[in-house]
Amino acid sequence: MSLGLPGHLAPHSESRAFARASHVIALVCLVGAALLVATVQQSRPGAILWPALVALVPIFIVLWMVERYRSWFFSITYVIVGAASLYWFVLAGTSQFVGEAATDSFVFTLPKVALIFVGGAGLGVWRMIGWSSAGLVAGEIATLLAALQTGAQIAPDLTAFAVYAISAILLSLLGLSRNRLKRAQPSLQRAARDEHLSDIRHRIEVRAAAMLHDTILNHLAAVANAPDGELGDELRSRIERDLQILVGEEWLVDADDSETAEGRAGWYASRLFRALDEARELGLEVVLSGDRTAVTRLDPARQVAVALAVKQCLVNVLKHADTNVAEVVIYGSGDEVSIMIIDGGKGFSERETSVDRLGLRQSVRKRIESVDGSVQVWSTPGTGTSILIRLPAKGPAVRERAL
Amino acid sequence: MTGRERTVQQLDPLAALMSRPTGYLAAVAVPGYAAFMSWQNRGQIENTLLAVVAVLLVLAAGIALCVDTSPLRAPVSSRTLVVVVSVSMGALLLSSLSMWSTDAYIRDDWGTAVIGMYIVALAPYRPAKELATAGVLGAIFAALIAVVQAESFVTAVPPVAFVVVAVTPVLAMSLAAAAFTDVLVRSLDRWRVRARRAFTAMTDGSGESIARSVQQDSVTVLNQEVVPYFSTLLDGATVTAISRQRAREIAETVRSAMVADVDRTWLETVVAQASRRYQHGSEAVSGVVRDEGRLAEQMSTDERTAVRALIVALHAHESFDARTASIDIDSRGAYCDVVMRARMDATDGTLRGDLAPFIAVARVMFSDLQLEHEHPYLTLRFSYEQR
Repeated sequence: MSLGLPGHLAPHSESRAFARASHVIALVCLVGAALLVATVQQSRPGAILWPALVALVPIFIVLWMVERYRSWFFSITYVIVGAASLYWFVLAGTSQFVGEAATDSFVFTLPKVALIFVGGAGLGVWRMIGWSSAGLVAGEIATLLAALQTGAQIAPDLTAFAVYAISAILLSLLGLSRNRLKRAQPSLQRAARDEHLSDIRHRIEVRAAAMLHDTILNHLAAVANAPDGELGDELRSRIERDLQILVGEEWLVDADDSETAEGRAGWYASRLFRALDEARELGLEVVLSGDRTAVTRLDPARQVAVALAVKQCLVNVLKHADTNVAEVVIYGSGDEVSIMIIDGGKGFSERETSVDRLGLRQSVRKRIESVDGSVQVWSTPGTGTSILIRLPAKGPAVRERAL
Repeated sequence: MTGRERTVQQLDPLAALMSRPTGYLAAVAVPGYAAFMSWQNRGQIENTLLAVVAVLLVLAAGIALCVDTSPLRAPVSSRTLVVVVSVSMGALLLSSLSMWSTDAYIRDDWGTAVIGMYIVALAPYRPAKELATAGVLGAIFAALIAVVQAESFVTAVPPVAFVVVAVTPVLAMSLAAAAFTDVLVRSLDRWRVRARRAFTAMTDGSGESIARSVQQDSVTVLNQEVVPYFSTLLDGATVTAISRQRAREIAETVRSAMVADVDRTWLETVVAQASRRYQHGSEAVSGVVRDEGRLAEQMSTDERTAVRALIVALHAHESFDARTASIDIDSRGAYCDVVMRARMDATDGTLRGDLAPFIAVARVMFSDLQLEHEHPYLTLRFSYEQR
């Protein structure tokens, strides 16, 4: 997300944009001037106008150069060579129409305007205005010198002055209003950054909450249902292990770690395989079908997320569905892996389940959504439950949304 | 980023706001120029009524441009460009008709320059292609009129020369406007790629420290009750009716804390942060956000950024009274309606001026955003589509 250019880049882009616009205006004016000369030549074959056309060639060349390399050298070259071109152009034009031609003829105005739009080097509107002024003065001097030489009528070129004045006023207005708005830009950039950081934090909080739910709340529930006496060995070792991890290790920092099991690879090394194993240990009969290797096409963070989510679904089956059989089906298509958890238990209505809404919402839905997946639940009281988890598989652009 | 047009206004609302004065200038200077040139050419005008109507049309186009480019009405649609350019073309036609057989010099006609200047004034608001197309269409129209009217001109040159004189101003200005927009939009594109990379780097860099801080928060919560409780059990204490009851209680506490966390939306967090940051001395304000359906979560990242910047700007304003602030979000079909309201004692002009950049940005995300300031209450209404 970005809202506009930051303060330090904006002047560069704007100056480049103004320069390009100036050069387009100059180009159109020069082409216009050349076309006018060509049509006049056609209608008056007696006049020798080709030198005027040739006079425009140097200014075309320097225009191309100043557009290509917007440096001080080429900007100054444009003004000097352009003025020389204009001088030659006015000289060649007025000498053919002695007594008729005036310095404010439209055909002369066009290259003068081209000279005003130097689009020279440097940043900021004031420098742009400086270059235009230089272009205007150089153009007027060149025209005047040529007219004095051929005896053409000398008339102030109101159009060229007007074009200069309007462009200068426009640029000054832009320069002045920029200062007024400067202060808002950092606030916007900060908002964009804060939004991004809060999104990162939110994803991590979701992971943390899901983790706490899976461990602490499950253990507390197990203790609440345990018989009198000391803790069972298995529950004790689970509590010990999880407390050690939660309090002692950096369990959130390295969630992307794939934790490959020693000596095992593919499906048997996957977190999902272990999750199903753990569910079986809890006393659930898990029937697995479909393409189990598809899971290995998920990236490590998604493998962890899907394993923990499926585990929570299976724990929910044991806790709430009044059945001890569940089916897990894995499908893999082009850019997606789907996992379905089906049970024939008593079912529920997601809206009415307040008791374990945290489990389904936090440990399944939010966890999967935080890695760009989706969860759909179909359940009605009496007919069992199906939960479909869909995740993007490895491939390009999977991180796009996170940006 | 879908749905955003490649205009400077939509990609960099502040840059467009910066060129706002050129809109005012155009609305005053362009009709002024048309009127002045008509007065200069008054000797050639046969039909005064047509000439007057032509200038009035230019004025109307200028007003339309000025109104439509207001930051409170952003973003500018292609309709504005179509209206402004076609009305200007109408003005060009009427002006030419007003001196159809008496027009001596086509270079003194203001019609094509008016079209060009208005296109320049619209450059920050429309995509480069549209600006160029409008200019080319304007040029073709002007060329046709010049060819038909060619007989009246006194200069002894072929009609092609009149066409060149007629089309050069409009082409120069509209193509320049298009080039300007094109360069800016491209540099905005490049910046977005860079910003995205910077954000990714930031994710990698700060992800770890955020993870540590979140983990620390969790550990602090666990250390209060959970860890001591389990430690006693692991040290050999036996499970009894009392410890079972205690397990249920702790579970309930942890669970309700988690539910509260899960239920809090980003919007509530933003409001709480902004209120803490700017309303020193006064007690923390709660209950500002009324969002039963947690609809704030349906906003896209860009929309959230705009709302976040707006909320921070409101809180930072000296006249903002946090105790009176409220944000209501209700759903209406596929849309969510947001009403933000607070007491702000500043005058209407000051408030609009100070908030203009943030309103301009928000208008790009929420095109129906409305601002009302019935002193001293400020109300902002907008809606967004549910994701």
